[in-house]
Amino acid sequence: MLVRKRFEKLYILFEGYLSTVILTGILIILPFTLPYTALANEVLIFSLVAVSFDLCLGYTGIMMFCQAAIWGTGLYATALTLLHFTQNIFAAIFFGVLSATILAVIVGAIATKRAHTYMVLITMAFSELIYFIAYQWDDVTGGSDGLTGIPRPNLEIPGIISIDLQAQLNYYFFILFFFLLSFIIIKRITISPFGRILQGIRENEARAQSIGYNTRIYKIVVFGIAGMFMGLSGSLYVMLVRYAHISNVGIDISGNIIMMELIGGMGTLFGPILGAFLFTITADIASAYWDRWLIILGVICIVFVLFARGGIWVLMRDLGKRFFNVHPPQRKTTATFYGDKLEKSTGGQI
Amino acid sequence: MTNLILAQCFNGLSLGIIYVIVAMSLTIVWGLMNILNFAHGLFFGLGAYFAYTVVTVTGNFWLCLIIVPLATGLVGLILEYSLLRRLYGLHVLYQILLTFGIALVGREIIILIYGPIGKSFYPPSILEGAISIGGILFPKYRIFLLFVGILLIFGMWMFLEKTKYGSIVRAGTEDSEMVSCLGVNISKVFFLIFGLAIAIAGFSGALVAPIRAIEPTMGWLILGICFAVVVIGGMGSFVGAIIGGLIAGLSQSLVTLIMPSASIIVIYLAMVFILLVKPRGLMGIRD
Amino acid sequence: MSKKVNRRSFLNFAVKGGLGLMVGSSFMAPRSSKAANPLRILNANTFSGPYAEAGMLGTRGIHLAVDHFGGKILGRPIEIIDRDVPNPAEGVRKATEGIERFGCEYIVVSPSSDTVLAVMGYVAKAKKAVMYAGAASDKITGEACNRYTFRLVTPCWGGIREVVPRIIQEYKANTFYTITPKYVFGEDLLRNTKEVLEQRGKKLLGNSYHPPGETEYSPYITKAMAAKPDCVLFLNFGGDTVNSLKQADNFGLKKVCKIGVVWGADVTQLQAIGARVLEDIIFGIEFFYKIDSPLNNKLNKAYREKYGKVTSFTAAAAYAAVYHYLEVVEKAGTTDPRKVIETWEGFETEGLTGRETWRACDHQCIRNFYTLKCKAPKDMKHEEDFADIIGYSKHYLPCEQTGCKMSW
Repeated sequence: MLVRKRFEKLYILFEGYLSTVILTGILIILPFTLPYTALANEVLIFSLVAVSFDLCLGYTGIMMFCQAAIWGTGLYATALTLLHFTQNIFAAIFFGVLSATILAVIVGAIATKRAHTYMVLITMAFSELIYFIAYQWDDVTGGSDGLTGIPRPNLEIPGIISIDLQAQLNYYFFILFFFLLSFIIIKRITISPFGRILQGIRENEARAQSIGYNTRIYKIVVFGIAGMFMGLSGSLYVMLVRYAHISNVGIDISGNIIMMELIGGMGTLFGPILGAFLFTITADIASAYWDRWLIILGVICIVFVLFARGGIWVLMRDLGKRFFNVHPPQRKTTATFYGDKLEKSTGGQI
Repeated sequence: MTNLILAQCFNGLSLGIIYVIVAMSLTIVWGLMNILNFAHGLFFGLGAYFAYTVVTVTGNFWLCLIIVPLATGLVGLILEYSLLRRLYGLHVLYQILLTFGIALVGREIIILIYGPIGKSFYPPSILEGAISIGGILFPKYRIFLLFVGILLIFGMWMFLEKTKYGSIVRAGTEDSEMVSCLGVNISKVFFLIFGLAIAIAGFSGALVAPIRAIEPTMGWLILGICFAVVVIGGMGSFVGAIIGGLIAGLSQSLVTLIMPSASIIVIYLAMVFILLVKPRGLMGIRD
Repeated sequence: MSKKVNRRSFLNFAVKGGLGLMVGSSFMAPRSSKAANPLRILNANTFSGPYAEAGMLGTRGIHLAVDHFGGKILGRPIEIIDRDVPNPAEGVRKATEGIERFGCEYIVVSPSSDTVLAVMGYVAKAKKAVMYAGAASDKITGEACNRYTFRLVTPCWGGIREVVPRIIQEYKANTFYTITPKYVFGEDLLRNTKEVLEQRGKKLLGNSYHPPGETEYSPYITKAMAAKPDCVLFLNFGGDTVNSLKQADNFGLKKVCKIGVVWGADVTQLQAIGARVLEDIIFGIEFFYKIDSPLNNKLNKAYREKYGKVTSFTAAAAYAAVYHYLEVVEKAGTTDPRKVIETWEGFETEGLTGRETWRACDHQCIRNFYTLKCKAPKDMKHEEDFADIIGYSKHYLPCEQTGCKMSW
């Protein structure tokens, strides 16, 4: 009995990580399949934001508009560190992550005082506030001209290792390292008891509270964790483009990340990666052919919200299940929210 | 200096009236149907563009004040019927995503049809220029705006308070399930009221068009402000929308005298403050 | 259970991997080999968002320039790659794509200074292409300058020194009030305006800052009117100017004082404002279709034939950007960046404003800046005849004062 239990436990761990291993394999090949490496770098960076946002939305049910503000704060902090304090790449990343986390926790603490709609509005207000500060404080942030000439330091640990990161491919693998680390941590969180509680909060917060969980604290912690990884993503991004600008904290970026999440698939962790990949590639190709390519994305957004709420990931999974005849697809979504069930009982009337 | 402040108060009121109108239409949709309509700004912009088309084709501004709300309302009805009604009762997240997508597509379609270059037209000649009272200049068009705005608000109040349909709307805002239980076809109510709200938003866009550049992104700014106004005034409360809108307009105009770039932020900060301190808003009846 | 795991993981792999490789390889363009290769020019402009018309007009100009060279240079066909760069991040990304993927040798970037600055930083590091900066910030040939970037349009410093004295002279104005957008470009304009006014002994009664993209100008106009200046100077740009002038007209500002716009954008802007509001307003502008020079006459003719309208500044600037590059390449006999740069430094040519020189110290083109006075609607000879040129001159910071230090 005990052996079987241990075996099953191992299997769950293994199953979780097997897909990660396969993901790693794909990501290693990725830069060689894309027309230019910088594109792959961007895909990876936005995948990281999207996955951390998935932790908020797909697992905990927190919708927010402040992703760009948090991501951009990490970005600016790293930029300023590199410009004024040190060329140590780890220090730069550290400060980026730290500032983003602090901001995320502050926003989270205030936003979680209210529920749903109002929480979303508070995050929106914060996003505008951060944008305003970045814009006004132009001595520091460069305002609408931005900060130029941000260096990308090489990876150097004196005496041990020295890797040149100026080449896009080398930098890609640097980002990949951080991405995989973050991904594994987030995945581990989602399958832990803590992660289960988060999903419980998403499905029915009132019930979670009645069982005795202080759901607000959990939500603030999620803000903090997501903030950490969004900050990390921002730090890596600014060293990719070597330029920081207030458009990085604008609400359109939050909108983009939300679309990546929706199209990819909420609550699946792999979905958002796919979403980020598709979004970035589409933006790149489509903008060369049609100036109004955003219409395509908007329409896809609408179609998915109405018919495919689980995103492409779930669509593929259900198709795959049908194809391989595993078992008939049960639910349309992976992430179910409170109120989803209402739709069925009232036939959409109320 | 007092002259300046007085002039600004007037400007703030005329600005605020627009906010009030848009906020009222937003609060109807939000309070009644529980839809956080991110596409509301789009209809404001659409109204301005339609106004431009009507004025360019017919040369008559007064005509466009009639045509535009009808046209915009029609668009709203089509959208409600085809897309929005599938989302009632679902998590607010999906409504945000859907209306966000609609706003995005709508903006791009506007650019497709009208081009990305901003448009503009002049107010009719009797409304041009300004009246001078005691050394302060009051542009005639803004007086007109204030006047029309007050008329419209009064009209809406009459509709809501004095008509049977209005009382259904008010009841629905408080408890739409109950209204449905009482035998009213609530989906028809939603349908028509949504159309009405959108028509009002379009109308206010047309009102503003002569004194601003008409460009594709004009909807977003007013959307943010009107969300804040509705929150400050209280979701579902029409008096609240009036108070909130006027406060927003006045504060924007007065803060501009001190620190122009902060004029919009102040409204957002007020929103956050209200959300934390008095979440129902100043006049709110629902949470 | 093991079967499910294997299938699911297999699906996982198959789909993600397949998609990735499929999409990736489907547009994997072969790196251009040196044999019979076209000269690729990257046209990085805004094709979306509020400044989308710039993209359309700029593209027209570039195509006209290429046409005038017969579509070929040094025996190689010329290929233009259009990319949308609505913000600086996109700018860098598209420039990266242009250089790494397409091997572009010339990049034309406009119209916002922040995007231009961002791409300049990248181009200087990549060292593989020459770049044209289509923006007017002083920084571009100042502290942020680099050897791979050239600029045609007159920066703030020079433009103001043509327009403001002209306004003082024309309006006989002694007191001024300024309305300025609060961002770096606006600050540049204000600083330069203040310097000129001080030099001439004229008084600036006050200034109002407004956020760029502002739609509600009533407070600033009321303040300006309360100060009772001889002339109100609008230091804003593009759509902001359209909004503020319209509202100023609403308030009847013209009855109280004169109006000057120091940095006009383009004839399309004049169209958006409308002749009635424009009457009697003085505009400073980089280019106007009425300039009488051989190259401009050639351009006007071609533009009118192809598009039926007068040449817009955006198109003309893009035209000049590519035209002069091709001239330099012809003279240098190669597209190698270093040779092109060395040839371009000190290059003299017949430009749109007459005889123009590209100076070596900061890669700035020395040319005229123009002042226009707008006509009454009844005096317009055709629907685009908004204004006449009332003056022009050249003003540039001496090399030592630009703060520009160049190196390879």
